[in-house]
Amino acid sequence: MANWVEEQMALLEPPADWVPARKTQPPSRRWIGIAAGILACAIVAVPAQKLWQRFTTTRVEAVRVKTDSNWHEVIHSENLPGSATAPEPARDLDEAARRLGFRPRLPRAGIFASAPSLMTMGQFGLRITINVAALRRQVPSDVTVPPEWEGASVQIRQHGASMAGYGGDYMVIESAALDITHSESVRLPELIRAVLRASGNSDATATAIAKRAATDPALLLGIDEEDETEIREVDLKWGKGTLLHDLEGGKVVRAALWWRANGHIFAISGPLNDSLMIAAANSIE
Amino acid sequence: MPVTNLDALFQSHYARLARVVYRVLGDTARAEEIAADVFVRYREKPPADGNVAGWLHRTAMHLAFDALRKDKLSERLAPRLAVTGDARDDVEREEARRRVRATLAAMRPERSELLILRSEGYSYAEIALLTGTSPASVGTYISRAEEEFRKEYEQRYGELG
Repeated sequence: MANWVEEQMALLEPPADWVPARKTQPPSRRWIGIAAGILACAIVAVPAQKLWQRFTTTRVEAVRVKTDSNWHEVIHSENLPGSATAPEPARDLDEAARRLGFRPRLPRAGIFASAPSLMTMGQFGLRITINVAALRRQVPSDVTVPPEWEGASVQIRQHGASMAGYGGDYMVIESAALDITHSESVRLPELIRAVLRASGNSDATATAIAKRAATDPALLLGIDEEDETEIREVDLKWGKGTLLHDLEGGKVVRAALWWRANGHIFAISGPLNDSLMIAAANSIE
Repeated sequence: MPVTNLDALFQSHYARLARVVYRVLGDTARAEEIAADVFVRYREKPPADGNVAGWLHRTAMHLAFDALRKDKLSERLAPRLAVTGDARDDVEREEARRRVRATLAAMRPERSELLILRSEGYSYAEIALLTGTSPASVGTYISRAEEEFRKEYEQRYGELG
């Protein structure tokens, strides 16, 4: 067994030619992945009649959160069985379409400088479980955390996504609508409000987001409040899009644009170029 | 260790800390940043006890796993943003590394630290010094850490890769 563990650990070997360079400045805050961790998910206001409630959504909303060192204790997440574990290169759109069940839509040729390198990701699922004790420790005193939330879970399924990589580190993602299922014991509006309060949001903000999600369910993506990230809405031909700017030392170094169109979720991530991203989004048919 | 010796301390430990952090994050630039941040924290609030090297390593590991946990959930939703290579082998190797890191992040921190230090080539005596344990017990602790790694990995991925 020890040899197997050693083999796994050896996978993490740093590059042989790497000599750590001395950094003279404190580390910059780094945006958490494409937008940040999933904290909670959408709400259905309909009273639960079944053991599980299920619905789909294509809306993604960025929210500010405080992800201090204790935060990971509040929410435990794990991959659902059968989840894809790696993307797979695709020769062309036809091959991607066969795998995904939908034909990926890409920005018009010429928007980006190079042809896309295609990949697909199979079905992917997450189960998020709430740790009531940890949540209670994090929420302000005016927030109630009912005991029946203990062990309750929310499941999110992504039914396949395409990824098109372009030169210059741009990536265009298209995902089918997300399937969200939650335990009957969870009243999601209250859960979302509690989680947002625990993550440092004011009551007004938490309540507003929960209320908005009740009428238009959304996947909430947390942006660490310590990160220098600007969040703003932009107008696209599809409606509103969410534009995120990642700053370091006050300078924008990276951006991402999210929007929904034709029942799918789209995102473009890459170096700062708002006009290029917006043009790319609007060029998709 | 007085703060005025920070430079000497930096020279002695920075590169090793960066390598340890790299094993957690797999990103040289971030490893360098976090290793540097450890010294910023040391300058601001030096440890009360005398085990400066142990404090530097613990702090580096803590910061590295914190950064990894912050990344983890989003990577699961859209985990492949960073993967731009065409070669399937590269994708699979990257996935294998991701699994190892996710397993380490889920383990008790002190045990993950043992495995990382050992894989980085630290001797039992050095590990004992850094972690404040008896050199005679380090082997036992590493065995327990390996056992926990195997169980956690198996529970997560259902197989020993």
